[in-house]
Amino acid sequence: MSKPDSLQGSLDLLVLKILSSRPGLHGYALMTAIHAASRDVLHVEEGSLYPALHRMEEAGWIRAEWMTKDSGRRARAYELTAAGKKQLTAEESRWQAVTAAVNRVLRTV
Amino acid sequence: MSLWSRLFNVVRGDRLIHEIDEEFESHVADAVAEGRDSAEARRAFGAALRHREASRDIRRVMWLDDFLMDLRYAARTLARQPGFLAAAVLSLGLGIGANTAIFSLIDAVMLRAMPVSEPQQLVQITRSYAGGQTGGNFSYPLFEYLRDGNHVFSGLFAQSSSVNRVRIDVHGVTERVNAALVSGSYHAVLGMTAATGRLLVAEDDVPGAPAVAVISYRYWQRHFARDPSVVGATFSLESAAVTIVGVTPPEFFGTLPGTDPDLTLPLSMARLVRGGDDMWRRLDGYNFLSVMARLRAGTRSDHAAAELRTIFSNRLQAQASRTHDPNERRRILGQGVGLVSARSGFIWLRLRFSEPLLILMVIVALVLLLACANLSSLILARAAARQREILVRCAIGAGRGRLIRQFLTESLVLAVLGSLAGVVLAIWFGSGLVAMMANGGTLMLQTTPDWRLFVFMGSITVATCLLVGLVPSLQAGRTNVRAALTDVRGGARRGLGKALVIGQIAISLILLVGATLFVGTLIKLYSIDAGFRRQGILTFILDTQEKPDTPHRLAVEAELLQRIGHLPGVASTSAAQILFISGGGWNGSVHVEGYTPAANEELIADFNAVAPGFFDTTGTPIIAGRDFDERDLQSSTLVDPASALPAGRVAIINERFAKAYFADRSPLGRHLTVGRAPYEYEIVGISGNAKYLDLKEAFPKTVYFALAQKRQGAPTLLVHTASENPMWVVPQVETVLRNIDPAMRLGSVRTFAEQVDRSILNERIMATLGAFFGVLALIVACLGIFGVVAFQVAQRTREFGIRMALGATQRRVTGLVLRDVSVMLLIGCAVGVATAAGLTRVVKSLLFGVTPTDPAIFLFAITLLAVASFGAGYAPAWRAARVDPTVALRHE
Repeated sequence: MSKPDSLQGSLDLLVLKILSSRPGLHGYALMTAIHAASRDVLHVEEGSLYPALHRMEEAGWIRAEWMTKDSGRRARAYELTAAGKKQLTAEESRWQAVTAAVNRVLRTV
Repeated sequence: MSLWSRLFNVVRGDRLIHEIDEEFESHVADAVAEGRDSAEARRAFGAALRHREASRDIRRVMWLDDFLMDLRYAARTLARQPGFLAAAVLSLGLGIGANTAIFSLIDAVMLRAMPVSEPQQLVQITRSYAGGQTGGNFSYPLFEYLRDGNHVFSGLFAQSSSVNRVRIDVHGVTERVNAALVSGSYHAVLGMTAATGRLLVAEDDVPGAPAVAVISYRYWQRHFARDPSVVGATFSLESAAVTIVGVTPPEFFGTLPGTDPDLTLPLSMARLVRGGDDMWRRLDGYNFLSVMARLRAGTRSDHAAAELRTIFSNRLQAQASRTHDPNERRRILGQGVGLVSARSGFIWLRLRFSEPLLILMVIVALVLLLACANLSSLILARAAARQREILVRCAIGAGRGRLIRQFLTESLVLAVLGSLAGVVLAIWFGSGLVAMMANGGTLMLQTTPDWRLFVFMGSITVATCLLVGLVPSLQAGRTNVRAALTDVRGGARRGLGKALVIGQIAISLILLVGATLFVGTLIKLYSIDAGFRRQGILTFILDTQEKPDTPHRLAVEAELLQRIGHLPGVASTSAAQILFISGGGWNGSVHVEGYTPAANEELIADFNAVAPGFFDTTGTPIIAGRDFDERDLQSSTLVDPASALPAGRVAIINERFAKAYFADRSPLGRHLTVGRAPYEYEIVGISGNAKYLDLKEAFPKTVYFALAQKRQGAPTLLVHTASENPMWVVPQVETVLRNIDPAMRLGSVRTFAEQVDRSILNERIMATLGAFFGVLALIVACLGIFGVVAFQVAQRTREFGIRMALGATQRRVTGLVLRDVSVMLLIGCAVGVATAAGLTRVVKSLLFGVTPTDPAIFLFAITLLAVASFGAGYAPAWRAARVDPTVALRHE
């Protein structure tokens, strides 16, 4: 958990954002969605997605439910909670503020 | 996820792991379904085990999970050592049980509030006298005066200070019940409502009012099966019809703690209950009432007391102005009043038992502390045996906190099991102690558990857990893998073990010193010369409705005593107004012929009125002159004090009285006068000294009158038999009485020895329990010493082997071990002596004939402890000396 990760900090934001528009995704679909949406730039270490999901679930931002897929295998589908929506807004504006600041630095120096 | 589901995840730990794994597998399956290689997908997934642990820690309550794991571990460890487990649970159970029992009694006697409205507003008015004694008995006129003159109370009531045993006829069945006599304001001041019917009101307590009674809930249950139609039913008391008007609520046990009156009667019925007349309503001499008051809302107790003192002193001033006798004035003006909280009822029971109970609380707390130290040292010794396991746990990354928690869990299991055993022992122990405190009578204590008891049990369990587990767990937490691997001797651990044993020795010494003091007190009380014999005397009264001084009753009494005197095996018979050491007393001021009192000196003596043969019966010698005899019977008819000196009134004084007022002159033939309208008594004899009120007092100055000449109510009859236990004569006495008057019965039949025993109740309680806990402490301390020494011997087996291989003798090795014991003993005793010397000063008032700082007492306790300690240490030391060097060197 404490291991440095290029996505650390932004992973929560990405997961929340994707779940806000596409509720009911399970872990693997969530991962491919991040790949696709970032046009193959952002990669999640596959295994560490799950502790992150469980942590957000614990924080009450997302909730999960077991559902059976067409293949007959069970998968855990995640969706945003009301608290998660609020958290998303907060994370988004924080992200905007940080990137804007970084861009300003890159432009002026 | 909610806390609930996280808690849930703790108990279904395996299922949680399955769920996480299933989600991971589903991920890999998705990857394969997308056409990825299975092995590649698993590689890309990373360390599944690590992810699983991370997820699992998030999704459960970690501490609880760890706790349950520790619990299972502790249960397994303890179950492997049933002997240790049993000893631990038993010793903790004894400690916790004794603490709980004593606390529940303290709660019942001192802390519990009465179930009435706003009990904290209730106060009892107490009274103090010129001599410095305090009490709380008031006369009815004084109660009225205080009630009508104050502005600080919203109400006051008076109540007869003890419950009265009365005989009533209910539906043709005669039975004896307890009755409380109360003023009409009783229930209103308490602010109670009836369970059914009504309670007493002011109108019930006016002279001539119809006789009514309120019955207790338990009496209602016992005798009327809670029949509501009991209201309006009647019973007869002294042939008067009394109407039952209501029932008190079930939780109400009256205002005299320790009693549970079946009937509550208005004071207007005092004559039916107590006999006599109604003079007490007008005269100041009848001090038989306790007074309770309710403070006006917002009035502070000290302000109320100040006003009360003012109005009381106004009355005293008025009284004092009516007399010219300076002694009398001093006695009047020396009185005072005060207030004490009465939220738990009148203070009488508290006064009697609070001190022994508090001291017992300290004793049992020490016993529990001792049991904890003992277990702690045993666990510490066991921890050394588990050294390897602890090292492994440290090596694979168990944190210090985790190790401490594991040890504490084990002691928590012991503490909880000990508490459970303690509850059982507490019930048994508590009821035993209540039976002792009841002192042959009945003592109604409410020991049903209340919140205080639960808080106490909870805190004592937690405290036990910490006391037992703290030292071993801190020691385990300090484990340093590298140091432990290089140094296997564990010197620090041995030091801690020794410290714990020293603590046990110190506590045991304190308890043993206490036990020695209390037992010594009792032995002293049993062996001192009280001036009378204690064995072989039977005492009883005549149980009859007849007034105490009818000619018929006097005749029955005289004939009974005479006939019993002729029974084989009976040495003598007599009667006395006041039975020694029974709690009853009678004293007064006397004037002695030829003795001039110093200024302000008042001659006060204890009085008694006895029949002929009294001194033979009690074994108090007549030193000079004569005993009372038939000649002294006639003068009872002389009731004319105004005429010339009435002839024939006689008195016997005791030695102390004679020495004090006659010095070396002979008192025989001289006179003393008693009372305001003075009767003159000729001194006809001098008796030996005898204790009067209790065994602990110095011999008082006593004047004996002839019973026939100064009879005041019914006397106690005495029979001295040749055998030590006089109870065998009871059936014969009953037969004799039946032949004389079939309507009369024997009442309060007991031996005089029993009577004396009753007077030293607190001393007997302290001696019995003190000795019990002292012996227990000795056993526990010996177990501790044995355990620690045996453990050390096992640890040093190798060392002893080397020593013996190098030529040390067996004696030397034994000496080596015992030297350790003596060092611990020495330090422990030093600490114990210092603490005990401080503590025993507190118990001084419960001691008699022994000094709390007497070196002999300490020496006795130390010797006892030393003998026991060396006994406990010798067995392992002996084993150490029998170590075969070749075996020992291969040991490990």
